[in-house]
Amino acid sequence: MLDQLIHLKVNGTLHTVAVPPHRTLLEVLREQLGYTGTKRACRVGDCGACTVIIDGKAVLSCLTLAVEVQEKEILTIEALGDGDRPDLLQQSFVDCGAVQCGFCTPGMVLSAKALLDENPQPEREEVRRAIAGNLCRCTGYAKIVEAIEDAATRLS
Amino acid sequence: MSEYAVLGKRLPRVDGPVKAAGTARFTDDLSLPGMLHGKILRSPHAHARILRIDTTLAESHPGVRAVIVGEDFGDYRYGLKPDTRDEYPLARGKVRYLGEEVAAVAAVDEDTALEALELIQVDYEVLQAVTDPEEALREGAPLIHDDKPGNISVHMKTSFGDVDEAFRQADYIREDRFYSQSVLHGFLEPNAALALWEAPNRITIWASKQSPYFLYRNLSNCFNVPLSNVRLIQPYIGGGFGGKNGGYPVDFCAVMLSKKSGRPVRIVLTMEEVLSSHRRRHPMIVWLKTGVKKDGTLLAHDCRIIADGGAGTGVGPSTIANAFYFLNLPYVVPNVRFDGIRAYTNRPISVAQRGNGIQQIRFAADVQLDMIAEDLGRDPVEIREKNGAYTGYKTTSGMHVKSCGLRETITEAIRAAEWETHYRPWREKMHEPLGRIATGVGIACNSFESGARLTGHNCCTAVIKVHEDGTVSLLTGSTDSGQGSETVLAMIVAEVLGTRLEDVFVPQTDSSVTPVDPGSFGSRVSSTAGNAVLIAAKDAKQQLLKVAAELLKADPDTIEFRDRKVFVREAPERSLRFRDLARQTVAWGSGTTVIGQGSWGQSIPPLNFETGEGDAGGAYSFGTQAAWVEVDTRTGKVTVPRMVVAHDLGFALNPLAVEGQHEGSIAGGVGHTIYEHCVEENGQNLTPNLTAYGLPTVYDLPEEMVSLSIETIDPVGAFGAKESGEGTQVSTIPAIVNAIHNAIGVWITDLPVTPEKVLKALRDKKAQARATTEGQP
Amino acid sequence: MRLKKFEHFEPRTLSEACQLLKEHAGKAAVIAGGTDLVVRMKYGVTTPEYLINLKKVEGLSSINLVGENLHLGALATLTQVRCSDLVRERYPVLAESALAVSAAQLQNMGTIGGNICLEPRCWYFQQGSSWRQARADCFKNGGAVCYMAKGSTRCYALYCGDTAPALLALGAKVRLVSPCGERTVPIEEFFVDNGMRHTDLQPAELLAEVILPGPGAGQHGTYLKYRKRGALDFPIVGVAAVITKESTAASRLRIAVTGVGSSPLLVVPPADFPAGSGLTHEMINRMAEIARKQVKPVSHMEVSPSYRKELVGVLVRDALEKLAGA
Ligand SMILES: Cc1cc2nc3c(=O)[nH]c(=O)nc-3n(C[C@H](O)[C@H](O)[C@H](O)COP(=O)(O)OP(=O)(O)OC[C@H]3O[C@@H](n4cnc5c(N)ncnc54)[C@H](O)[C@@H]3O)c2cc1C
Ligand code: FES
Ligand code: FES
Repeated sequence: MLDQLIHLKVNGTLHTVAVPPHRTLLEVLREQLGYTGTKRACRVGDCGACTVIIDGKAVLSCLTLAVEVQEKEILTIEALGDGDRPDLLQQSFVDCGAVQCGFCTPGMVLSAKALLDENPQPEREEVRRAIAGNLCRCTGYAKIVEAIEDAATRLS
Repeated sequence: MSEYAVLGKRLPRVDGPVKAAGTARFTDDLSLPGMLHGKILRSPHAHARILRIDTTLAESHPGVRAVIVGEDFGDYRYGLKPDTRDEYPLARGKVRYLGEEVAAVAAVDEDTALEALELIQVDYEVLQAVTDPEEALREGAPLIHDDKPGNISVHMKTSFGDVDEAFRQADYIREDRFYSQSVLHGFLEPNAALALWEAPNRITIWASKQSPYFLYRNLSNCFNVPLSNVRLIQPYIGGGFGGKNGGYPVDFCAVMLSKKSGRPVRIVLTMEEVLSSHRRRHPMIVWLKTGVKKDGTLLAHDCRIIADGGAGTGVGPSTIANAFYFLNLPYVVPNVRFDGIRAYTNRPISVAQRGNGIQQIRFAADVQLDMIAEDLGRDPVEIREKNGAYTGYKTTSGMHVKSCGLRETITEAIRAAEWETHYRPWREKMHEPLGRIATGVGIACNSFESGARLTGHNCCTAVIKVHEDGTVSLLTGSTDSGQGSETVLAMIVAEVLGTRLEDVFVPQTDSSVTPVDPGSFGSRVSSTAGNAVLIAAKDAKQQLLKVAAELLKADPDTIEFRDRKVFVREAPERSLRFRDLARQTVAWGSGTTVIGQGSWGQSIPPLNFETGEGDAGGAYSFGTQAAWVEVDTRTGKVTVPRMVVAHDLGFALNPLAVEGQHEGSIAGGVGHTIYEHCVEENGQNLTPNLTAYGLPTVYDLPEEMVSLSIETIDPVGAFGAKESGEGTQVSTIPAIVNAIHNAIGVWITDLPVTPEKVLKALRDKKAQARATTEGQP
Repeated sequence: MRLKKFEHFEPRTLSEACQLLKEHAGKAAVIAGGTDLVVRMKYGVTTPEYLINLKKVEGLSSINLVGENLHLGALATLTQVRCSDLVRERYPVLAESALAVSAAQLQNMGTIGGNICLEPRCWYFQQGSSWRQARADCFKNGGAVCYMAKGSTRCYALYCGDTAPALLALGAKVRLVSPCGERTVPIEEFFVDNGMRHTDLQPAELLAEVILPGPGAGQHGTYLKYRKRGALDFPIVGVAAVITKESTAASRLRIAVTGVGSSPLLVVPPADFPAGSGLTHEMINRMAEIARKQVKPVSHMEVSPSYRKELVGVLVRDALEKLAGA
C-alpha cells in the first residue's frame, strides 16, 4: 500500500509520480499533475465529464487506476489547443454554440476527438453514440452534435 | 436590426475558447498553498433530536486540523426575509431532513477528512418524520420548526375580480388536480467553495454562485465581519439553474473551518451529496378550477396549491408568489382566486429552479386549457389565440403588459411545426385503432417575468473602464453561470463604444471590486444588468465624446463610434481610431481616466408577497411551443423527436445565445416531463446518482429543435430585450402532455410521464370504453 | 467517493492470478475493466484489501477461431467484441448486445468477462456509505433484509448484464481456471439465481474465456433492450433470441432474458413446442406468453413486477418478429 513511483505519459510528456494504488487517474491528473481540464463531476462513471483518451480510446479517468495506465498514451483536453489557439474541433464547439457552462465540454470534446480520429466522416448516429456517455445539462446536445459534424466537414 | 454593428449578431461566446480548452477554472480547479480539504457529516435521519456530538476522536485523528459543529455558528440563521430565517450552517439541536449537515472537518487530504467523519459520534433521538406535504399540514402532524405552527412555511391567499360571480356566469367549469414531482437542478459541477480566513476578520471565498451577493451578505452577518472585508470571487460556474443562488452550508463551513484551522479550506460536494441532500424544485399539488364561456373565453381561475417546501423556506415566498402571478398570464383571466401553501416537510429544501414556481402552475393551466378545448369541441390553437394577452393589457391583479407578441408566437410556432398538416383533434382520431407507435402534436403557451423588483437593494450596476489602448473592462456583479450573459453584456458595451466584442473584457465578479448586484435569477441579467451596462457605456462614451469633438472639430452630436473608429457621421473621412481617442483622452489636459458608471432597476413597486397585487417583473416574455411526440402503445414509452419554440423575447441581443437558452430549456423541460424524478422512501432519495435519477442523454432529447425569436422591442428592457432563459422551460411540459393526449387520448396529470403510467392510463381508458359500450342497450 | 487503500497485483499469467486469489482468499477481488468493481469500491460496498488486476495477463484479450468455435478472452473489451469481424459476421447478436452496454467510454473499458460476472444490482445496495447509514444493512451489505422484497429470506438484487442473454441464446460455454485445474461449462450452468452469489465461480476460480459454438449455416439472432434512457442505462429488460438451423427440417430457438432476476434466464420452451423451420404468428405469440409467465420479477426502480413481465412479452415478440422477417 506504499506509494509507487509510476511513469505516466500525458500529452506526450513523461511524468514520474509517487502514487498509492488506490488513486484514480482522475485524481492524479488533477491533484498531482495539474491537468485540471479533466473535470470531476460524478466520480462514478455516470457523466463522462472526466473523459480522457488512452491509446486512442475515450475512457473515464474516474474509474481508471493511475497505476494501471503506465506505458500508455494518455491525452487530456490540454493536448488540444489552448484558449488562444483552439484546435479545429474546439473552435467548432465555440462557433456552433456548443459550450454553455463549459463543465461538460472538455469531456465532450475528447469523446468527439476519439470519434473523429477513428472515423473522420461519421454519420449522425455515430456522433450521437460517441457522446451518449457524456451528460450535458445546459445545451440539449443539438449544438454539440452540430459542432462535431461541423468539425468533421472542416477537417475533410 | 441592421442598425446595430454588434448586437443581434450570432457571435460565439467570449468564454467559449477557454472552456473548450479546459483552462477555464472552476472552484474545484483552484487551490492555495497549505490548503486543507473539508468534508461534511450528514444526518442519517429525516427528523431527529441531536442529543450529543462527540468530536474528540476526530479531532485527534492525525492530519485533522479542524472540526466544527452547529454551536460554532452560535445562533446564526439565514433566509430570504427576516421572518423566514430558518436555515442553519450546521444543524442546531435537531436535524430536519436526511442528509442535513451536522458537522464538518478539515484535514490535510480528502482521505483523512473522510476517515475523520467516521470518527464523529452523534447520538440522535429519532423523531417521527413527515415527508408528505398534505400529511404535514394535517392537525397533529409532527412539528418541524417549533416556531412554525401547522408546518406552514408560506401562505398566500388572494383574490382579484369576483370569482364566484364569474363561475355563476360560466357556461362550463372544470376542476382538476395536477402534480409536479421533485426535480433536481442537474448541474454537472457540484457545489464547491474555497475559503480563506485571515485574522482578525477578513474573508476571501471562491464559490460557485450564480448570485454571489447573497452569500456576501450572509457571510458578513454570520461571521460578524464588515462587508468591505468579505471578498467573494466568482470562478467559472458549471451550471446553476437556481441551485447555486444563495449561501449554503458548504460555504459557511469552508469559512468556519478556515477560521478555526488558520488555513485555506476547500470543500467540493460529491454528486451523491448534491443529489441526495442539496436543494431541488418544489414538488407541487395544484387544484385548478376554471370557468369559461361556451366559446372558450376564460372567465375565472380558482386555484389552490400545496407546495412541498422541505425543511426550510429558502426563496419559497417567491415561488408561491410566482405561481400566483402566472395564473394571470399569458392569457386574459379577469377573475382569479389563489390559495397557496408552502408546507414544511422532513425533506431537503425546495428552492427556485429555472422557471421557479411557474412550471408547475402553467403545466396545470395549459393542460387544463386543452382539456376544456376538447370538452367544448374547440381548437387548441384558436382557444389560445382567443384568450391570449396583448400589448397594453393589465391583469386583474395589476401586472402591466407593455409588449406582447403572444399571437405572433402562436402563428410562428404552428407554422414551423406544420401544425395544419400534423394536427387532427383526438375526437377525430379516436375511432381509428392505435398503431404500435402513436404520434401526436401539442401546443402550449408561456409567459415569464423579466427582472423582479425586489425589496431592499434591487438595481444592477455596471462600471466601464476604457483603457488607453482602446480596450475596455466591464465590471459587473451579474454572473454568468453558463447562460452567456457575460457575452451579451460585453456586446452591449462594444455596440455603444463602437469597439469589437474581443476588445471588451469582463473580469469575474469579485465583491471587493465589482458593484453589488442582486444576482442571476428571475431572468433579470440581460434586461436589468443590460440597462445598467447601457447607461455606463453611454457615460464612458460621453467622456470620450468631449475629446473627440475637440479633435475632430465637430459637434458631439454628429460623431459616431463604430468598428473601432470614431468619425463624423456626414463626413466619415474625418475620423480617428478608437484607440487613439482613448489614448488622447487620458492625456487630455491634466489627464483623466475614462470610467463610465450606470445603475438601473425596475421602477415598479416591490413584489407583494402578501396579496400578489402589482407587477412580478419589469417586463413579460411570451412564447409558444409545439411538441411532436411518439408513444409506444405497448410499452407506454414516450419520445419527443421534435420541438418548436417561438418566443417573444423582446429583442434577440445574440441569437446564438438565445437558441442555446431555448434548447437548454427544452432539455430541462423534457427531463422534468418524462425522465427525472427523485424516488424517495421515508425522506431518503433512492436515486442520488445521475444514472438512477435519469438525467437525459443525447438520445432522450429532441433531435430537432427549432427556435424562433419574435422581437417586440420592449420599452423597458435593454435594447428592447426581455428574457429567453426560463420562459421556454415553462411551456415544454404542457406542450408534451398535450401532444401525448393528441396521440393516445389520455391525460397525464401526474408528472413524470413514466411509461408505466401511460400504459395504465391506456388500459383504464380501454376498460372504461368497454364498460360504456357494455352498459349501452 | 474515493477508494479505500488496497494492495495491487499485476499477475502475468492466469495461474499466477489464481494463486494470488487463493493466497488472499476472502480479502481479494479481481479487476478487469473495473467499471463495475471500482464503482462498488467507491461506494464502499466492496472493500478488497488486495486487488488482482488481470490487465497484464498475457493473451487474455484475444479473440480467436479454434476450429469452428470462437474463443473470446475474458479481457476482450466490449468495443473489441462488437468491432471484431469474427463476431460481427458470425454472431451479430453478441455485437448488438455489447453495443447496448452503457456508452462508448464504458464499452472501451468494460470487458466481456466483467460484463458476464457483473455484480447483481439494487438501489439499496449500490449507494455510498453515508446513504447506507440511514437504514439497516441489506443482505448484500452483510445484513438480514432485502429491501426489494421485504420479508424475504434471500437477496433479490437484479442481474443486469447485457451480453449474458446473447451468450445464453448462442449456447456459449465458459472456461474457468483455478489452482486445482480448469473446467468448461455451459454458460447457463455458470449462473445461479442468487443475488448474493450469482455465479458458480469457486474460490480462487477465474473466468478465462468464452467459447461460442460455430453458428452453422443458418443462424439468426437479435438482442433487444428496453431501458429508461437511450444510453448509459442498464436494461430494465433485455431479450436475446437466436434461431439456429439444425437440419433442413428443424431449427432450434433459444431465448434468454436479463433484468428479471438475480441471474439471466434461459426461457424454456415447452416439450411440445414445434421446433419447426419457420416462426409462425401463433408460435411467436405463444413463445412471448411463455416467456412472460416464466419470469418472476420483483419490484425494482420505478418498475413494477407486472410491467416488467409485460415488457418481456413485448420484447420477445419483437425479437421473434424480427427473426421471422430476417
Ligand atoms: C454508468 C454505467 C452504466 C453501465 N451500463 C451498463 C449496461 O447498460 N449494461 C451492462 O451490462 N453493464 C453496464 N455497466 C456495467 C459495466 O460497465 C459493464 O458491465 C462492464 O462490461 C463490466 O466489465 P468490467 O471489465 O469493467 O468489469 P469489472 O468491474 O472489472 O468486473 C466486474 C465483476 O466481475 C469480476 N470479474 C471480472 N473479470 C473476471 C474474470 N475474468 N473472472 C472472474 N471474475 C471477474 C470482478 O471481480 C467484478 O466483481 C455500466 C456501468 C456504469 C458505470
Ligand atoms: S466524473 Fe467520471 S464519469 Fe462522471
Ligand atoms: S455546457 Fe453546461 S453541462 Fe454542458
